Amino acid sequence: MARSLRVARQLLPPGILVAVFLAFWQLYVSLSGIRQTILPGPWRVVEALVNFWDVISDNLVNTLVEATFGFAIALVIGFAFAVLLDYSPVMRRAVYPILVASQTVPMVAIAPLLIIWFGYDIIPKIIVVWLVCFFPIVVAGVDGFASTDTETTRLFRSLQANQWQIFWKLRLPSALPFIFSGIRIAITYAIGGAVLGEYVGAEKGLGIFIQRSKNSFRNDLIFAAVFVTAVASIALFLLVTIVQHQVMPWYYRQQAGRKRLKK
Amino acid sequence: MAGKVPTTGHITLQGISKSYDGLEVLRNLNLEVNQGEFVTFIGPSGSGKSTIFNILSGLEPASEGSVQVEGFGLERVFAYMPQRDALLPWRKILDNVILGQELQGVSKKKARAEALGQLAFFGLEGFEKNYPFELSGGMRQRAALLRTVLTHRPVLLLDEPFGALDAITRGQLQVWLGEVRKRLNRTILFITHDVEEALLLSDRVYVLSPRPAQIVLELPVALDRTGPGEIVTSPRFVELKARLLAALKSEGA
Repeated sequence: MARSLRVARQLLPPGILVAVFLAFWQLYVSLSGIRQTILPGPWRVVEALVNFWDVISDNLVNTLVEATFGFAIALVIGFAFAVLLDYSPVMRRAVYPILVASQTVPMVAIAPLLIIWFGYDIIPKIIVVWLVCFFPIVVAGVDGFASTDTETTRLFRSLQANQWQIFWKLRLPSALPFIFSGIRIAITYAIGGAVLGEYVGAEKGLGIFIQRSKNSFRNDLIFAAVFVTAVASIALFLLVTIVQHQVMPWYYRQQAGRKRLKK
Repeated sequence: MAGKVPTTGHITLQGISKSYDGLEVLRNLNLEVNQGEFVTFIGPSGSGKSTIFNILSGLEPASEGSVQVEGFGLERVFAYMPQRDALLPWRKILDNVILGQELQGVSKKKARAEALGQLAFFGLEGFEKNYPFELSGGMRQRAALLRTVLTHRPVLLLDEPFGALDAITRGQLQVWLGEVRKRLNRTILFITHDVEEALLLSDRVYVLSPRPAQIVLELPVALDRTGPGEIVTSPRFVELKARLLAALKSEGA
């Protein structure tokens, strides 16, 4: 009971906002007489989504596969990088500024090059997703490891803990809240990254579906694909949150306790 | 439980000095601690009291001088309790207090079983499955002390364990630490800058000067703590307190 109430309190405000927005949109489209090929109303988008669900879902699977692979690789390599940069100050000084600078390179410039180099199949999309997910994970990891309490580290050393124990029993758990923040940012970028990678050239996927819809003036299908992209991203985000609850129950109990105190 | 912990002999610090990049922190400290004794270091903040503990617990080497513990190498003799509790927020209390054993490779199951038997005495019974943030400050310090005790090391190094607590909790824990001490029969080295706390708990007090720290006074306490009445108003206590305060003052503390 209390749980469903909490969920309702979380979902209701954004739900109402979205409903109001959709109502105004529909109202505008109906009253202004704007051509639905220019701006389709939400109802038209729903119709398109239902009618083209077979094609859209087929393309969605492709996009999800690319996003998942790219994200998984970014997670593994990003984590390894974070550990490396944490242990080597020289590496940190060398690599960190390059990482930051790399983020200023627009992905729309890189994506076509990747296609020239790696072809039209899945590989260049996975690379795009990897590139957009990598940075938030590395930064979160490095900051997370650095957040380890120095006094607790001294306690571990006074107990003759070895480097391995200090990492697994102290630095990693200390970094987890940061790492999960990074993962949540990365996962929301993952689908968008895959769509972008497909948009510049692909055989299948929501990105190329959007481009084809644009070329055939089917703006309703563009909106339908955008909607599906958003829902998929939110779903992945929620999945990460659920995993985080499982991995760090203490963190949420602590947060809940703090909120109670504030009231 | 006390039987499992090896008893140390005499601890001797000989000519201990420490400098960081030319900043002299400790100068030629010579002192001895007997087996089972409760010895307190008192001195102005920044006087290097904690540096003594760092050297003893092996966190940093002394620049000069030596530490000797009769019958022991220096590893696994000193159990260090930091100023703040340093409990791990992601571990429940039971798993926090077994840290020392766990890091030495004792099985968690065995370490937990032993810890459970000690919870009641440390006033933590029923809280073994709580996380540290769910406990009061006093309880967290008791948990941190239990963690220190369960390392099975013969000498406890307590660095201002009650410094961050309110006066009432602090008073309660001082009395309680006296009880713990009787029961454990371990050597305890204690840091504080509270003169009354030092006198209430210790067998002997060393007063340190401001940096570079030297011993300005060694004061045997020998108070009768079992007698009736408030100990802090007894003439002997008042006299010792005056001597400690004078020693601290003379050094511009």
